[in-house]
Amino acid sequence: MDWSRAKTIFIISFLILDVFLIYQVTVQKNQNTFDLMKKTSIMDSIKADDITFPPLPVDPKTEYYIEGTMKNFKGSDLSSISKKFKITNDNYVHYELEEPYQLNENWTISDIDQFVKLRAYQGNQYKFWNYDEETNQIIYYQTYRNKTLFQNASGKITIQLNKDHDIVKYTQTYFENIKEIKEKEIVTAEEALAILYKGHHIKTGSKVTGVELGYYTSTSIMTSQLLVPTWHFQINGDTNIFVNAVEGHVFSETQVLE
Amino acid sequence: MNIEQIKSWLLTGLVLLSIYLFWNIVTFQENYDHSVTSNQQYIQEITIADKKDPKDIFLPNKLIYRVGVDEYLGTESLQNIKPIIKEISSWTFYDFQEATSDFIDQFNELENDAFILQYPDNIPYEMIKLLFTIEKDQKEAGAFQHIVIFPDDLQKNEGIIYLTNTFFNQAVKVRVRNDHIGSFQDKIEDFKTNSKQYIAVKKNNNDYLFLLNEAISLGNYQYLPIKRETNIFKQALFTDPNIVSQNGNGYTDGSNLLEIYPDTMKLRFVNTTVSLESYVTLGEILQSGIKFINEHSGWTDQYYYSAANANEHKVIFQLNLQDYPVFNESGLSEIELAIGKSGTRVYERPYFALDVPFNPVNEEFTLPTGTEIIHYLENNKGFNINNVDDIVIGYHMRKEFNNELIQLEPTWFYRIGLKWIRISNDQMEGQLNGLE
Repeated sequence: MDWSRAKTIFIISFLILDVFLIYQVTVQKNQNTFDLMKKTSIMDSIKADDITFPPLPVDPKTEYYIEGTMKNFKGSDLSSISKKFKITNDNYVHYELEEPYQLNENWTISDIDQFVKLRAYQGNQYKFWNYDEETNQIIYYQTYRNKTLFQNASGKITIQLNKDHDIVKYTQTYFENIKEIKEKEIVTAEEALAILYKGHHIKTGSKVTGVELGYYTSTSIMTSQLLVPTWHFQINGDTNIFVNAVEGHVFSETQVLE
Repeated sequence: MNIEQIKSWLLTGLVLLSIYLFWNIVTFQENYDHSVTSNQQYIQEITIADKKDPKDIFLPNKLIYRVGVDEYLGTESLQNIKPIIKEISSWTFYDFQEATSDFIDQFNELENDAFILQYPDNIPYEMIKLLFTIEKDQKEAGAFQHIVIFPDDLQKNEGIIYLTNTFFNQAVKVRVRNDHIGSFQDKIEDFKTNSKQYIAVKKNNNDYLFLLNEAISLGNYQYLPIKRETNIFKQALFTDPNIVSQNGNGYTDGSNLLEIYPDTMKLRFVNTTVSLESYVTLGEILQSGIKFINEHSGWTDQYYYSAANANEHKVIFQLNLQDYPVFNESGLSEIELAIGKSGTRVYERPYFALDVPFNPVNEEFTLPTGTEIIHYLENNKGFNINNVDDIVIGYHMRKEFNNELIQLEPTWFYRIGLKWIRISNDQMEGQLNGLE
């Protein structure tokens, strides 16, 4: 009889003990996942701050520093593409059209691409950058292996439209003798976005409208430039921010290299 | 009865469950502890770049071949030095003997050719086993700075070489053997044809200064410095980085201090628990310094032993680039350590890498000859050539404030103690033109 009662007491106490132990195990398990949670927390806080972004590219993991120089144009380089042009400082070509090149009022980028391809030196190497309504200008930057040389005055086409949306004149510079110097590990687009977020470069509620890897001028000597692999983020369709993909710092946003 | 049996089973089940859960908690904690310790081990083994063998740190900075009476051929480009030293390190050294008078007799016999391998500074004998193949432990005390080989002493598969101090007035005779010693004569012949004219300036302490005596043309270099993350140094240098507190550009855990100088891209680590009061031998300084750098794989570029001083507790490893040493007034091209009995007290070094070259405007510099350099130095008021420890060709590293790039320009340097001083090309030209 006593043994039976003792058993009941034991059963109850072990039941309480087991409940406590199960609770302990669960707490431990949760703490263990804490580390993992911390790793993803920057991306989570970005999402929590209502910042939206397109799918981010995972590659590449390495990229090259490149160097090159501004091309010295000769008249013979251009005679097949234009009838009327002027070269200043050896490097700048000013084209003028005798007949304005007509564009629709609702012109698209591919219309301009078509024009640039035929009417500029190595036009297929240039890529649309933006259209500035105020000055009525369209800007193209040169690319190297399909990666844009951002904000680079040495590889740029500026197209001037008149008020009827016709192309009347345009200027060009060309960056040549491009050499790959040194391959370096680079930060991923996700890491670059985290750098921008931590440095308060993206405001709450912003929309990242474009992410692209290209090159930004690191330093220049006369007409030569050293360019560093750089992530370009476009915020809300109008602000451009550039992140040095090797060293992981932000280039000042307003800096345009001339 | 039946109920009692169920209760028994239930109790047994609960007991087993509690044991299982309890075991789970305990082992889980063990795992957790384990992961923490292995984490710490991981932190202690943080690798910045490479570990290095002393063989790759201690290299001669000049090879000089004395032909007969007073003609010297030589080189100070690492590209030419490395193959010779590689050959010698394949020999087996045995039978070390004090043999100063033997050596001096041979060395002063001016018809005797002598091949002199000069190290930048003293190397204690206790380190020789780390640099060469030594058959038996030798017990010579002190240090050597030269290896002198009289070509006549080399036979087909054995030979004799001498290790001497700075002043060529203490020597140890070493017997060496290797199947290919005979072919070293060919190596010497190759060396002679590829080397340049040198002059030897004898100082009043019996030491020689060997200087290139041909006008040599070298290009300049420019690099974009890439900063290494300083955080990795913090993790490597502090035993427990988690308790390190930050104050501006300084980090401390109470007894260690790490300071970052972003303007010069240098860092300085001080372990305040290490005292520099008691005397430490040169051997202890060198070995302890190398061990310290190896522990965090801190050999980021081509650094070589350059100078040491036991009284100042210091050792300096100099950056080499394009086969020549690089010098900079602010220490941007060297790793400097101050070593005490219990380890490294001060560790000072740059934290940038020069691996992105950008030099659109290549310039060639023709350097003055050794004779012109000596002439220039001796004409400087108050300058005493006897105080100079070495004169070499190197690159002057320069960083201008408004320029991101680091520039390297070839020029002459001389060393007094631990300090390298530049002989600027412009100054030289000024004086030489003035003389004309």
